[in-house]
Amino acid sequence: METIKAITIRSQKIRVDYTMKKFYIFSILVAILLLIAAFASYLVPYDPYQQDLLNALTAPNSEHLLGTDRYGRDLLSRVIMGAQSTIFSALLLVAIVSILGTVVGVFCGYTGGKIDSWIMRISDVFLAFPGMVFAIAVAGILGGGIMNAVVALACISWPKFARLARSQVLSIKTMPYISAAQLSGSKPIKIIFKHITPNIIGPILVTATLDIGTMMMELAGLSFLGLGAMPPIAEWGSMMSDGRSMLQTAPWVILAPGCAIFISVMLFNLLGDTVRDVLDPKTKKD
Amino acid sequence: MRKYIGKRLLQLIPIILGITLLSFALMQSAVGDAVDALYDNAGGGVSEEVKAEKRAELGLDQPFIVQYTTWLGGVATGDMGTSYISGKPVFETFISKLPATIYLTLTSILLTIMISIPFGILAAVKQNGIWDYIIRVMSFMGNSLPGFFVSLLLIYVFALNLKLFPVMGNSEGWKSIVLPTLTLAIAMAAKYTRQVRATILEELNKDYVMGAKARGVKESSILYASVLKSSMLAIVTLLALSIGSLLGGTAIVESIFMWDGVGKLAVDAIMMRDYPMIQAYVIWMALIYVMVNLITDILYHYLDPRIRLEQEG
Repeated sequence: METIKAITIRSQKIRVDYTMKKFYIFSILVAILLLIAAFASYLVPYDPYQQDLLNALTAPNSEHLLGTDRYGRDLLSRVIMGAQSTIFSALLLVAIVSILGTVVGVFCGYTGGKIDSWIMRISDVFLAFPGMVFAIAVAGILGGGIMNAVVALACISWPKFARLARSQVLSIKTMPYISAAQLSGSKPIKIIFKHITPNIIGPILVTATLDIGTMMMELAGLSFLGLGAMPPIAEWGSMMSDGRSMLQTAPWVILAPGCAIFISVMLFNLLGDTVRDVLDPKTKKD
Repeated sequence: MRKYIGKRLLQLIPIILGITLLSFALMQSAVGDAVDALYDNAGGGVSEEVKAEKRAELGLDQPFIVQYTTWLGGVATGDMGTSYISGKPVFETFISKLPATIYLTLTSILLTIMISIPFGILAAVKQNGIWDYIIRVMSFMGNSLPGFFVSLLLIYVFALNLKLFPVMGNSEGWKSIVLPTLTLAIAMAAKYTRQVRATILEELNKDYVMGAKARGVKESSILYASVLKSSMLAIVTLLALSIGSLLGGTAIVESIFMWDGVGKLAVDAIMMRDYPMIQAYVIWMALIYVMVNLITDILYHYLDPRIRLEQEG
């Protein structure tokens, strides 16, 4: 019996170590990505906005590692520069949505009643409609620009976090320690911030991390449709939209930003998965 | 049962009223209207008088609430108005775009089911084996690929280089639907394979499975007779939600492939501020929303008779 117990404990420990190792690796990779984005303007080999029509649409070579676009702009520089606008706007979007959604959800879950059921009904409708068309409508109304795209996607994405926060609050609200806090005369604000929020932050953080990738794809999608970042701004979605017409002759123009999106989305998804494993060891992935 | 369905369908009325009012208000707050969009696209240089005249003709000079009630009155009598842009009746235009979207929805859902259910089962049964690993990596990658990138890659490989399928449009029969279907199915299958795998694993860990194994029931019959059946509930819900959002048209995929469905119609209508057309789309979405929820609840009831319908209504 003792040996079996020892073995299980040991294998659990190995599993935890493994998860932590994965967590460190992906955190470092994401950190590198963020550093690239932050210091993009120092890392670019060429000016990403400098046109050079003589060298337009050159295939990847030793001088231009990823080739050039139709204005002769160096694609590697544009992809690096695009990391800044694409990644930071996605992070901003996730921050807005998760904070806003959580505030709404906590409020609804804690107070309950009519307002709660109305807000939840509204969020149902938001969740049911195809998000992209909704976002296109809002972005179309606001006009182009990456900040407007962020606002448009924020409008459609908050319900997910509101629902999550609300359900968490509902399950915590009935706990004895909350009743104890209420009975001892704590103000609702204090209960929400001191006793409820710390206990629901885990799942929200996991969902937020897992959402970065999706948000990045959706933002790039809006830019691709011409409703996000406006040319000449280097942004991965609009760069791909720009290269669409030259797909046959110059596939590298869409491949470079496309792969950049793919790799960064994957990194954020991997990090999200490991964050979930670290924060919530109960729901084993396997 | 009939009473229950009737009650649920009655919910449509407040939903349609609310959502159309909301979208009307939203579009009113937009910069520029259909007249601007119409003339600016035609090259500009049109005087304000001409625009004002056109606005009066379309009723756009009226206050917001008058416009809305006029439109609502029309809908109540079965007239959804005419498009501000093309001048054609909205209802007919909308209906003519539906088959393309429905067709694409069906093919991509079918392909998704054909990929994700067998692979999800395989991954769950051979948990932590090589197949499980490959399937998980593939679905992870599929989850990280934006649809527009997938569609451009598919166009590059299969349409431009191999010339197997047309680049865009829906004129070449079954061939033209292959690439849009693949684009949609890759993203959905990546998501559902994970879901199917997780659902089945959860079922496999339940006590009744162990009980059946202990009694010597064959593994395959446990899987097919019990596990799959009870896993279906979760999968059906997800599929229903996907069908709902696909029927709303997939804005990006439809516009990349110039697939003439309602998603593209909606995007065009939004860009051109074609209010009556947007309203038609919004009503369609409300219909889908209510129907999908209703059908899921009824399916629930059949798959798991313990779930009672009346409570939901």
